[in-house]
Amino acid sequence: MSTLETELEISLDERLVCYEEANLNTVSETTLPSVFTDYLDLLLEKGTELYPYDLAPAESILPELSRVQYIDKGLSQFECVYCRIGRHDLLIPLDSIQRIEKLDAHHERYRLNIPECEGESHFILQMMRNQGNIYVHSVAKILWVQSEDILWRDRQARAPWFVGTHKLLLCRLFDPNLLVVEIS
Amino acid sequence: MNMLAQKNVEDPILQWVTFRLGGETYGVNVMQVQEVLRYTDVASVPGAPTYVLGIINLRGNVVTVMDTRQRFSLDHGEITDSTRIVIVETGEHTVGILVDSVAEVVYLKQSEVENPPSTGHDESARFIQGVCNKNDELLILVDLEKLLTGEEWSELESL
Repeated sequence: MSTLETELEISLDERLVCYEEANLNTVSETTLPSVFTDYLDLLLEKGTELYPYDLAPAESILPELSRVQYIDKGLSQFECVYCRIGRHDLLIPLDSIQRIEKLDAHHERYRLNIPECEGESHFILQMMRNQGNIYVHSVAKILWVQSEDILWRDRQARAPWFVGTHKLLLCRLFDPNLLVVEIS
Repeated sequence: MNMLAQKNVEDPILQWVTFRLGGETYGVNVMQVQEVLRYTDVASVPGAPTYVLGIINLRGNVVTVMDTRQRFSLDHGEITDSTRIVIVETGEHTVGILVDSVAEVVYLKQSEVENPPSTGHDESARFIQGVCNKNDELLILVDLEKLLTGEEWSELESL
């Protein structure tokens, strides 16, 4: 077993303990305990590179094709936020997310609506490099997704930001970077 | 060749799986039916065309379920205990079609199948390959290949 695999296993175990302690499988905004939000913050701070707004790189970040991004880089698995927007469950790669926050009044500066998904929003997924905020209804958990469990879309004429479908969870893998490119 | 075999060649007998949808009875060629499932939750797919109801996991494979009512220009129906998802194979595609209920398998001689009546520009007419009066009931035979246009089948591939 490689060092990376060992680290991932430890990391997963730690997270499972955390979930069990919090007794959470699916949570909604109204029942989300602070321990969980703190835990999400901790995960995001540890697991992602932070860019304070004033230090964010000025150049545009043109995303590569997601298939290239996830498969050709040799990523057999990657972390995702498993969330719900409207009636749709989505997986959003964690490396595109900087923070998860509860929605309140001061969060209206740059709202990123996914065209196919509508619904009341309770949480904000703040994208890396301050590219935008994704408004979601609920955040269920952060989980490791295996590349082989994704049915990757080869042709993406319609809604290219949905880069694939998770075969077991039966939900879309959403790449917010592609939506940003589309609307910018 | 005996007389019975000769007769079957001249007037072949085909088997059709019949199902109910919006008060009508439809039939699809039994050779294209893979299986019939009880209704299971269909996961909606954002970004999918309107004729796609969603997806299901069929023993590890993701299968697209078509909104048959939308395709047949029918009003939205309720899910009941009789609701079924019929898994059909058309060419390279395997899809599910949501129906009100599955009735039976009927045997039809080719000579019993009549051409569909002309219904003007009704879009749903294009995938009706024939009609048949069976036990005083009209049976509408569906050509699954034509249920979607070539473009729509391609679109389904990239779902």
